[in-house]
Amino acid sequence: MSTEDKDRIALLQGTLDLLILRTLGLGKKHGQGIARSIQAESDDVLLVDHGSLYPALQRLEEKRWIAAEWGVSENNRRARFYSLTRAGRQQLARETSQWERLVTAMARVLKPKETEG
Amino acid sequence: MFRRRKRTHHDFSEEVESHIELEADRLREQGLTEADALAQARRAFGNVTSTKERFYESTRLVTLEQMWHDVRYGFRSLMRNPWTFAVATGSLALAISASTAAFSLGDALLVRSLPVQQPEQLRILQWVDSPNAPVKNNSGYSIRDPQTGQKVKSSFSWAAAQAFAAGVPYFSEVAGFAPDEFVLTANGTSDYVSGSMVSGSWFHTLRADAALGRTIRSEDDQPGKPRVAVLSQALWTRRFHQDPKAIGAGIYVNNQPVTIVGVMPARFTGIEPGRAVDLYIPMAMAEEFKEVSYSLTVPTTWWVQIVARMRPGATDAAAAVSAHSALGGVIQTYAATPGAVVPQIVLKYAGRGLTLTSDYMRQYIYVLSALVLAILLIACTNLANLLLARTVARSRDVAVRLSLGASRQRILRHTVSEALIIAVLGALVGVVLAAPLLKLLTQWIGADQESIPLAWADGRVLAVAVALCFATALAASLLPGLRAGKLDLAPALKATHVVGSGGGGMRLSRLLIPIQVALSLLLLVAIGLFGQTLLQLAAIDLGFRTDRILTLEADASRNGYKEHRLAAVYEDIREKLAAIPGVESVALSHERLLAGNSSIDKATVLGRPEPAAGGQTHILYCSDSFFSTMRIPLLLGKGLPPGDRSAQPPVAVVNEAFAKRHFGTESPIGQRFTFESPNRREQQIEIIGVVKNTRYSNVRDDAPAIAHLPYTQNIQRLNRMSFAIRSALPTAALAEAARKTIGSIDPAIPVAKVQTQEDLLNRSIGAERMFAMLVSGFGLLAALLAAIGLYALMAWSASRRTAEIGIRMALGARRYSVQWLVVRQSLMLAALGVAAGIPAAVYLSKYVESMLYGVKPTDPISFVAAVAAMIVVIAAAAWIPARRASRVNAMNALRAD
Repeated sequence: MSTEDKDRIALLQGTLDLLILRTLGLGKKHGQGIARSIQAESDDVLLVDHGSLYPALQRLEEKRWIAAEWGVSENNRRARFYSLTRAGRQQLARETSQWERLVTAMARVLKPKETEG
Repeated sequence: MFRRRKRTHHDFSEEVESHIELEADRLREQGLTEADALAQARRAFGNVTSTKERFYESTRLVTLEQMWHDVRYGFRSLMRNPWTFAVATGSLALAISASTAAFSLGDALLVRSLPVQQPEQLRILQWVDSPNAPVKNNSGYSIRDPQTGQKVKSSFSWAAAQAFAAGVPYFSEVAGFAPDEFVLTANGTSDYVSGSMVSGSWFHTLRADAALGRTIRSEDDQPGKPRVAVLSQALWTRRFHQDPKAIGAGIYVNNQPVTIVGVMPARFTGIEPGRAVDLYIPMAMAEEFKEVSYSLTVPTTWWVQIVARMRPGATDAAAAVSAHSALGGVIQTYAATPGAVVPQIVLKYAGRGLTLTSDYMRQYIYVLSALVLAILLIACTNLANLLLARTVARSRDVAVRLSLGASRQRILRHTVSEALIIAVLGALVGVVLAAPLLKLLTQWIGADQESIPLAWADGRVLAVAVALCFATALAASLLPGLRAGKLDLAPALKATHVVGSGGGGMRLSRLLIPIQVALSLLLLVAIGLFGQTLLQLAAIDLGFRTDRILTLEADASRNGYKEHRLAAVYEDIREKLAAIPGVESVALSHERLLAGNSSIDKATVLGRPEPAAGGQTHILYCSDSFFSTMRIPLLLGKGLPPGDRSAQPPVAVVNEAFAKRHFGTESPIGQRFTFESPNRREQQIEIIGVVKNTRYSNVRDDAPAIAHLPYTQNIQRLNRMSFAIRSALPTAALAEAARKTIGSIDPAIPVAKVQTQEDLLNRSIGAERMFAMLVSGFGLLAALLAAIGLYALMAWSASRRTAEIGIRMALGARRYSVQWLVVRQSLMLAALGVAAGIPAAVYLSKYVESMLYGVKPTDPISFVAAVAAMIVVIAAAAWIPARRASRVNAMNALRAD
């Protein structure tokens, strides 16, 4: 998939990727922690499909935006911990600004419609 | 290159498990019970398998792993039905080996160009036969051109060959050649080899180079020059064990000393596909052999065959006209009468060489190709059947896998990988079998093996065969595979296949059955026709016994023996051969029976009018022991007298056909006749006996009128001699003893053509018999495969209807009426196939008419038998499973899958 494509579409997938990157921007986390964190920070508006989470993590890992290592969780469970790489940080910045542009653009398109109606 | 190791499937699973446990921990904190927490965590995660699959497919390395997994899975599931697996693989292997061999043969004879530079520029010159052509002594071939229907001859005089080279501007080079058999003496042993006398320009015209040493050049082809020879790779291997020191070695060709100067590469076997030339010597040597058929000076001796290379841009028509006037110029110098005709010249494309065998074989090869195609189609339908049956039977299994999260692509891949396993195995076995099969084919057409290499040596035919194999497998797998991919899950999971289930699978099988039937019918008709040909050929009464006879040819005339001395040597050989322990008797004759040759002359009985049938008589010069050795019964009078008859009044023993033609029911004993040809004209031959009719030169022609004459009556023209040895000794031991015996008399006497009379019989009807055996054999195997495939298909579709049958029985249908229902429906499908197959068989059988013997192409027995066999197979294939289904308890049947 080319970058141009990503700019235009890939909303769903891109959204999850962005959310993961954002969450990891705050520190190391394992998969379940990422899911919980997203859920909590969005006030339970965003529900992460656990089944999609891991393929997404895998994808990001392959792109070298995040790195992973096995560790021990706070309640002594073995878990795989993810952290943001340098490339991942840059990607987070890029995607955040893209997202903001998208939101602004969406808002611009949606507003006049409301006034007309 | 630095690269992180890919994650393993195990690692990923572990992570998923850890997630579920962490989630369960959290839920437990919220107050859920242990079990509920875990269950809810799993639920929240969703489809674990699907996630794992997605992980699985996301990594590239895994794709390879997955392929391996697919292959193992496919192999395991194929092995669950080993017989169907074997049939599918077997039919594919048979089809691949048959097509590789048939294509190799077709490629060598019909397609491949000569292995020389720019072969498309080469032409062979021929002349259209005319009775007034100024030729006295013509050798070479004379054939009817398959394209134009004209009778053409091959050979020109040496002067004409030179005139073509000098006087036809459209040719860049012109070369002459004359194929013949030569006696090669090297390292103390003599042998016949197939050779060619070639002009000095020959190798240059062809642009053929030696692999070792050099070729014959124009300076070698001059009178008085040291004589040279070039060997083929095969002869160099056979006689010199590839010793490089053979270059420069001295050998004898027809008793003339010659030095070997070069060896040709293995791929160059001469210019006639199917006939390999082993020895090349310069044309100028012809004079030294002192044979009347060769002369560099006599303009009426035409013996030189011509190959010419066209200049770029020159047209055949212009070159033929120019060659005609060049030939006219030569004829003018010697033909006294102005009426002498200058024959028309024909240029034959020779890029593929001199295609005598090929032109004759073309039809056979086409029929063979058609047969191979039918086998391939059967293999294809068998494979489709197998895969289709498997996919449909597995619908439920597939549905389970789909609902567990397997992707549809994945399911399709399984079907395809199964097909590919069969394809790879089939191709492997097929290619291995191709070599012996081609050897058989080559033997069958009587061609030299080294001139027809297995075409996969150059990869093209192999590539075609393998591609064909994979295309077959893929085509056969995609249809059922796609069907499985589209499977509607809910009904398939519930499926108990009640009435009329099976859907697409059944519809497809309804198409496959008639196709299979039509193909099988074609094959069965072919088996019928060629099988009867075989029987008819075997039933021919030869008039003599072929068992326990070893024949060989010896030629002492090439070593200086003449007339009485020659006859004495042959008598000596006969006595010494007869003295070998275990030898019953030895007969001499100037031709061997069934060897394809005969001498013909016109007989006129003194004092009687010429019979309506004419006087054409086959002559056999033989010894007194001939009739007893060949077991030819004497009907009247006495046999041939022993001893030297050259000074005695000439006598003959004729056969029944001769006696009946000239004398009807009267006794011919004591009657005299004469022959017409100059060397026999003077003799008045007395008939002293009558023997039973025998075939002479070949098996196919009815027994001709034969006159047997003592060979010593032909003492002036005596040359080579054939010996027939009757003995129960093993062939190899007898052959060895015979060679030793003749060698002990004079080691320089070449011994050749050591063959049993049975071999000669096989060779005489070789083409017909081998072809009939080939067609029957291939056909039988293919028909068997088709029948097995058909049975499997019918059995499968009948078993699919077990539930339907159960319902019918539950509703009160009688067992037999239900069975009949199934059988009738199958027969309807078969009838469709028969309806298509019969006209196709009638149409195609026209093309094999010339290959049949004693049976018409529309032979009703073959057709009726084929249809009957088809009906039996179909009915049995439908009835057996239907009977089984109808015997099942109705309740079980309803539950049956």
